[in-house]
Amino acid sequence: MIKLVGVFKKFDAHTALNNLCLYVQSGEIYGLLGSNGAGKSTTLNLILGFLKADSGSIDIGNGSNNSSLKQDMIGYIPENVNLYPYLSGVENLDYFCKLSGFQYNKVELSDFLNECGLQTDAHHKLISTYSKGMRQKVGIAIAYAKKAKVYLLDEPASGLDPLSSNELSELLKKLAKNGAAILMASHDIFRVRETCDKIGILKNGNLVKEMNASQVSSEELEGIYLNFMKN
Amino acid sequence: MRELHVFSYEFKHFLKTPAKVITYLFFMFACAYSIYNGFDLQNKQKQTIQNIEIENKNKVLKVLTWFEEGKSGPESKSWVDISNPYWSLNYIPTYMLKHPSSLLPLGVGQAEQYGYYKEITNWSSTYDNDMVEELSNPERLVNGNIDFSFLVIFLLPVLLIILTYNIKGLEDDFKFDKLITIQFGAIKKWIFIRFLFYVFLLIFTVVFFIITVSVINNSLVTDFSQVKSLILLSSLYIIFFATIFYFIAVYSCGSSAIAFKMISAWLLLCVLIPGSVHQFASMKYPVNYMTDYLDVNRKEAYEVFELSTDSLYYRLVEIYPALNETVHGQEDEIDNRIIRNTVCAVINEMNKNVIKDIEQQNEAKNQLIFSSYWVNPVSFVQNKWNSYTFTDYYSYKRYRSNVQKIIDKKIELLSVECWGRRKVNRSIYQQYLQEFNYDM
Amino acid sequence: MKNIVINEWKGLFRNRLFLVLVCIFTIALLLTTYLGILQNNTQILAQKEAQEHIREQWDSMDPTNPHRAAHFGSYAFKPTNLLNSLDEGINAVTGNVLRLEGHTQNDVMFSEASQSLLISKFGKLKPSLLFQFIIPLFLIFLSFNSYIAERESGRLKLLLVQGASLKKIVFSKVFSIWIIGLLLLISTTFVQLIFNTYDLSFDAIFRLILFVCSYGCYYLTLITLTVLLSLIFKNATGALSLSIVIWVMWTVFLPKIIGNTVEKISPFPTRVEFQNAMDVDRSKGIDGHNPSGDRKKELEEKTLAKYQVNSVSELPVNFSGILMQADEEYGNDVWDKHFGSLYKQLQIQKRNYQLSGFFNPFASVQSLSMGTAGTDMFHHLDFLKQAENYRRFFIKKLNDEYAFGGSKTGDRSWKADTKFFQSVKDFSYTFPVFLSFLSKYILDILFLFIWSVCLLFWLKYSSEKTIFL
Repeated sequence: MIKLVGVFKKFDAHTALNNLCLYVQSGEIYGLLGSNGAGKSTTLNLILGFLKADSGSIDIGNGSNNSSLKQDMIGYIPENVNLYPYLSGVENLDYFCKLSGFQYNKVELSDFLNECGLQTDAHHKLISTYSKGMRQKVGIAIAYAKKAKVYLLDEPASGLDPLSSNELSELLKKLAKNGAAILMASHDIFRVRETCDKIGILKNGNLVKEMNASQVSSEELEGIYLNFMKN
Repeated sequence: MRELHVFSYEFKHFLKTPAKVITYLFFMFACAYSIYNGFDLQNKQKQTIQNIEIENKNKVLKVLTWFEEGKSGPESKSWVDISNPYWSLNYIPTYMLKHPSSLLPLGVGQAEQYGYYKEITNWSSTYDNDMVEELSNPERLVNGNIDFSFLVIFLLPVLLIILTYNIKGLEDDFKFDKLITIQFGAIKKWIFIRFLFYVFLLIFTVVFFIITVSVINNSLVTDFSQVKSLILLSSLYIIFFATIFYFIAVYSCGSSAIAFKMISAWLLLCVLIPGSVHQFASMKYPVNYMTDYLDVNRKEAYEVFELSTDSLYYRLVEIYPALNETVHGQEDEIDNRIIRNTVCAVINEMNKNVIKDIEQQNEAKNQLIFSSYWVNPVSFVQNKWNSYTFTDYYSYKRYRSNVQKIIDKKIELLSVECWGRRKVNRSIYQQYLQEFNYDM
Repeated sequence: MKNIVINEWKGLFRNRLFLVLVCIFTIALLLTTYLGILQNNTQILAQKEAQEHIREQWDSMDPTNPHRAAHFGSYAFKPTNLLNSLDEGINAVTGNVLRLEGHTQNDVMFSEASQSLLISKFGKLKPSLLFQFIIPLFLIFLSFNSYIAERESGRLKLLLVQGASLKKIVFSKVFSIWIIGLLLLISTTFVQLIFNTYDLSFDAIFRLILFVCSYGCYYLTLITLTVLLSLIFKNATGALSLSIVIWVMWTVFLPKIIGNTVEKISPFPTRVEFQNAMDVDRSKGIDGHNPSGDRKKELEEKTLAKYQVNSVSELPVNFSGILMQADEEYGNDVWDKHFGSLYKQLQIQKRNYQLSGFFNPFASVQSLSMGTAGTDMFHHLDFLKQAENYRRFFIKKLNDEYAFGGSKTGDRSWKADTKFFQSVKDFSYTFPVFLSFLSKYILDILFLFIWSVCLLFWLKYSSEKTIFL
């Protein structure tokens, strides 16, 4: 689970996050919506440990403040999963697993990729030949193989075609079903509505609205979002 | 364990990047070529020295035949009398040779700036015309040779740049540097381990070539401490550049910026700083036209020749007090011929004095170079390397000093024997030969 | 196109890093040029003093035998010319002093490189060092960034949509950066002109113009190549890596490997072999000190017949002087044969090296840089030839004085007076006019021109063919 309580973050005079309280349970997918500069990336960077909060607490389930222990639990999927272009999907996965201290044989690695929806015939092709969706799947496989309890996704659906986007949603739901806490920051209202269990809207560092995805339709969500952005 | 994986996976990164592999192989080829060049130069020097030695032996054999046949010298030169020490010593071909070091293939250094064989006559000095370098194309000398030390000192850092500029640079460019941190933790450590792989690779490569040359030339036996020092020096040098590049990689973002900064560091350390020190040294110590030396060999020498026999007699006795005890030293009359035959000793002393000044001026320039080493580490490594392969200024200074010793020895022997009115026969001639290391 | 160039400059000059770098380069160039001029002047002064010192000794020589004076000899000091401050060329590795005496043709001695430990493998910090190593790298990064930044930021698409052709865009990039390179070149030349106004000849100006043009051509080649690679390669890092690798190959690696190879293709004899071959040829002639042999006999008969006397003692002239001059002339023939072939070989090596400009334009610019600064091998050989010609004149004058100045054969104690020695003119080196040497550099000029034109055409072709998606 991810638990942020009263988190403040300032960059010089600019307040990036103002008393942010956010809770993502295990098995839950949380979608963080917001315009550019609303504080989404700052939130992710704080959880990832790249930034330090000025005040407040960030807990990702183990109750530890040790950043390396935190990082062991986190799987991170950046907006563009541009991995080593001269390595294949399997090789990239192998390398990143080894970086986090896991060692799998080739069959296991292929299984991870399969589970994340990457077709078998692509496993041994160079990443440079992959589409964005395929690379995204390798990125998720990296987090999955690490046995991450927490998944942080930065604009995961940006630039994906509808089919890949849908596959991504399904994959995230599968991960959540297995007990992962997933936090995704996005602009894509429709995808967030389709994928997430809970949705939060960030504006100027304040969490202005939180709701259950099942309570709103896509159109309603868009209306709420635009209403907050305009005011 | 994770560290070990990063290290071993670097080999895969390396192999999967054709540009890096090709550059590395190209460097290996260049090393092999440079060593071949070094061997070529070494063999050329050895061959020349061997030819000189053979020719000298033939000349000596000829003189020995004259003794056997009771001849006084060559038929065309009736005035030559080899029973006179003046002529018999003149007919001992005396050369001072600088045998190429067994490590020459690893560093040509300043070898091409100096001569390595010198014929010693009664009028020789260490700044004679035949002390200059071998015949070579000056423009080639300016560009320098592809020798192994050049490759290690100047091109190896460039190779290191090509091998390492995209460590973290690529991750920055493709924006998955955060993923690395999430997966591995400390990114500095991850960069360090990846750098370590290339440091080991390059040290292994350089050591491989040093050991190969040492085995071929038996240097492990003859020059073991130099081989050891070369290995240590090259390893430290690689670590030195790797450290600079490591910090550039850590504190820069993107492969272009990293490459630019690394190349700039290389230019600064290998080209700009040495060039500035060179320019400064030239301004402080302009090219020495050695007019004092020219004076000794021209005006002052002629003034000596104009001196009276009496004056020369006393100047010679002053140089070699032992001459007082010789046959001529005990005689009442001064023999003009003996004095003229040994006046070279006076010129030699004058040469030695003026050369001492020249060497001191050179030494002052060298001291300036030494003091610049703190800001000019590449020149330090370069000169250290050359000293291990016996091709630096001081190796040739030692050679010049050996040349001077032989000149002194020859002139002293000439003076003592001429003043002793020694009658030379075959066995005395052979004794002379032994003095100059002839085994005949 | 004009708008794109102006916009490019605006962008560059509003970039603080660029401004700082340009300022550093300009100051460094001006300073190195100025220091180079100072060093040059010190050197010129030292050489002048040495020359005067040697001449003073000659002029104050007591009456002496001319043959003895021939052994007393003289020295030719390699002159330093004004443009040396731009490019030192081979001056550091060649000797600076040449002893001129009877019977013997000596080598130049006392090279700067032999007077201390090794300092720099790439030479002193002269403008040529900056022009050849630092500025090209700066231009590579500027041109690389210039195009790639447009592409990666998406501005390129915008420019294309606005109606600018890709050809126009890339050529604007090339020229805007090239002009910056030219400005750095011209500012250096300007300093050179300011500090040397008192001694500026048409030849020096011509040399400076060619100096600037050759570097200008080289920079154009380098910038065009970098922009071309950025255009061809989709991967920006790959394009930059290749540009740097090419630059390293051109500037550092190829000059050495080619220099080495050309010397191997036409190798020199060792000094000992060369000297022995000369000695053998010389021994066939008349030994002035040991007057015997057929040649001597022949000369003697000819001289006796000319003066219609029966023995050398009856000659109204000193036969020893005639004999020595005959030996000298034979020695000159031997010199011409051996040194002639050595110089020819050096020229073959130089030509072969110049041919490498076909695949390495740096070789051409380096050759032209040294050539225009008057510090290359051609100028060195010219110095050696003039010094040898002077030596011949000098020795002939002394031998003639010995033969025809009033002494008779066997009159070894005969002395020429001080006035005669003072009348022997001193060695003075005439710096060659560059136009007379121009043909030697045609290959360099041609290759630089071909490189820049071909790359410009290639860039034009590529920019027309590139389909930008």
